[in-house]
Amino acid sequence: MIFVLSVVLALSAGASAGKTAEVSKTVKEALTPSQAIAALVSRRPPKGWNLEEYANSGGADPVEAYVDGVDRITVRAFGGPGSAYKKPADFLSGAAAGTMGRKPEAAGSVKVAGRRLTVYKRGFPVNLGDPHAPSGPTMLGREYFCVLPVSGGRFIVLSYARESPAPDLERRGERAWEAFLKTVKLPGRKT
Amino acid sequence: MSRRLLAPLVLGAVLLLGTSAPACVTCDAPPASVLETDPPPQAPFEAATPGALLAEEREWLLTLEDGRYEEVNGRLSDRKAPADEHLLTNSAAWALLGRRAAERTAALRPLARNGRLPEVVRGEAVALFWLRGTLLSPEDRDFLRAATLPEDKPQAGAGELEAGAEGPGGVTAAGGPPAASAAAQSAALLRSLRASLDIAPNADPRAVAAMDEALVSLVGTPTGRELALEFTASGSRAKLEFGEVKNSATVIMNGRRILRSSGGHTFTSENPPRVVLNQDYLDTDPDFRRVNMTATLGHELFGHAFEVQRAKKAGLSLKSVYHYRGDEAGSGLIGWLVQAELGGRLDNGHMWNYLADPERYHTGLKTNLPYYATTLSLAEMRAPVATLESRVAAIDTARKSGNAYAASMVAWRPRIAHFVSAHGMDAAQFSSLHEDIAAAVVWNNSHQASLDSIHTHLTGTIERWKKPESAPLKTELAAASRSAYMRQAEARLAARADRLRGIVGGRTREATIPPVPGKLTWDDLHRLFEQDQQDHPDHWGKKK
Repeated sequence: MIFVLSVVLALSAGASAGKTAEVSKTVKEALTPSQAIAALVSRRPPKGWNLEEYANSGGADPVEAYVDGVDRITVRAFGGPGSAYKKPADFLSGAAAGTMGRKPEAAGSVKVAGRRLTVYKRGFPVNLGDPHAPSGPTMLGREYFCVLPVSGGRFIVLSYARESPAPDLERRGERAWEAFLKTVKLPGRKT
Repeated sequence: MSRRLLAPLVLGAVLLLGTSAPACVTCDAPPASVLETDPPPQAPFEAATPGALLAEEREWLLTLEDGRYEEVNGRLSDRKAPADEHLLTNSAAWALLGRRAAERTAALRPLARNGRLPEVVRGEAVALFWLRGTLLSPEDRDFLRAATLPEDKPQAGAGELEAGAEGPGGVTAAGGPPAASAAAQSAALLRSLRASLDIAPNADPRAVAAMDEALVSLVGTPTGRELALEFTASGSRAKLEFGEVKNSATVIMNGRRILRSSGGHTFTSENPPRVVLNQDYLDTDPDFRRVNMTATLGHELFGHAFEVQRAKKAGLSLKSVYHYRGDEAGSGLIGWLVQAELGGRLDNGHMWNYLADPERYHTGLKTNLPYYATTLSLAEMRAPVATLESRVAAIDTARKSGNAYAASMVAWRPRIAHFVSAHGMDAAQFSSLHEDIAAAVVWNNSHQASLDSIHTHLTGTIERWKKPESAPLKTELAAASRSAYMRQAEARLAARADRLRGIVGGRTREATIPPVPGKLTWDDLHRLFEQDQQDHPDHWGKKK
């Protein structure tokens, strides 16, 4: 499964490789963010969604996101050397988990890779204006996420975000996330 | 449908975190939010208070003796101390910080040439002199004072300042002179900063008073103070003025007149750089101006205007700084820090997005304004054309997202009508939501126009950069990306972000504009929608 996914991601990455050949030369030895995540967890990307991949903390915290309009399914890995968050508790108390300073709310649970995980809900600012303008009223999108511990003290944050304050009438994004979570597997485990 | 649906659902809020530290009354006391000018030596050291520790001091303390000290509710717990005395006291912290300052001073001494330190380490020496000078021996203090004087021009006001402007508790090293009072030091620093600035005359008497107040407020914050010290010690200069900002306007929200346009900008190509504050600030409410204009001043003066001078001294060109994405992020962090330290509202979406996911913050700016579309990370500075080319495709994605956003909002107009017609709810309750929907459409129209401008700017830049005459610029960008200045700039970014996380960690978001009483919010609409789907699935095209 990991191999199959790696091929899919390699092809996706390859689609943009021509455009970023100069960048690739500088990082040819490093794993792409998707490859780094693939080493920890396997998953099947939602069909037809655009892949974005990047990393924070100087490459220590890889991120891959599947995007369709205002819907976004994200896989983030933390807890490795140089990570901004050493433990799940650090992440849950940080800015990435809360709503502009407020703690995330528990919003049920979900089974992922054979484990029952708490689902949290948070709001995050969307459609921001000129960064030189004093802040005004902020529209908040909604994000649901769960934290999956993986090997080596690392953990994966799986999330679904809707970059709009308006509820999704069709639940299209939520359904895609639910389907995505069912494909998430830990290497070497039958779940 | 009954009005019971409007009652907020009980949310299963779960407090997610605990601390490994044992229960302790002193630990449980809320951490101080403001640095005391004369803290009792035996009181717990308030490590999380803004200005209490430099980022590198915090890191040093937390890694001492394999993690002997750990942070507990804003204070430092000593694993080796008895349980009832486990919190580090001020006197113990000063001893440790003095030890570190002496060690760092010893490490800096060999780097000095003719008594002066090179630019790359001068910032550290300045911070040691001003913040830890009273903990050092007179010899170390004298060394730092002399080593940090700028070479090119007399340092305005430096001679009248004593080390340890913010030194802890007025403590002095044995044999050292007593530190001057904090108020006198602040006044001297302000004089020193003013001497580094050319403040343009203004016929409007409000301008003089407002600029004066902003400078006083800025130097009154820990971040502003530290940067004022560095700015003056480095011999940097700037012009300050109020000016017109296109399409600017003030608006009344919640009874307060506030600014809803760019707060200002800096002409970094001028010598010295010219900082322009939006003159409309003068019409805003004093409490809004005190915080927001001071934050803008910090952003422009100690961000853009100072950084370009640091870069020039390090041998970098203006263009290298112009295209470096950290210039905006670093300035942003200064403004956010100043705003937080002034007790301002933590309602800046850019700030929260940066703290949550720095890379996404940068990506978001690329489709915000044309200028940001051509800013680059250090890795991207080595491949500028390929990077900009990859961003052209991102504009199409941003167009689709903008349209999807507006559509997601507009789709709710008929559904809102459903709650009114089918459930008899008062249409007036939904007026805020209708305003948001209308604003989303306006925003998307404006956003699509911005994306047109970004596309033009981006493709024009790509075209220019592909020409042979742009080869020197590309070489310059690549060299800049590997420079000591950029490494230090990235380190400053990380330190400021850490500091900001520490400050905002204990505070919660306050809305600039609280929900209007009697009007439904989007959260309310979510609850209504979920409840109605449960109670009346047939209303939503499903079988009951």
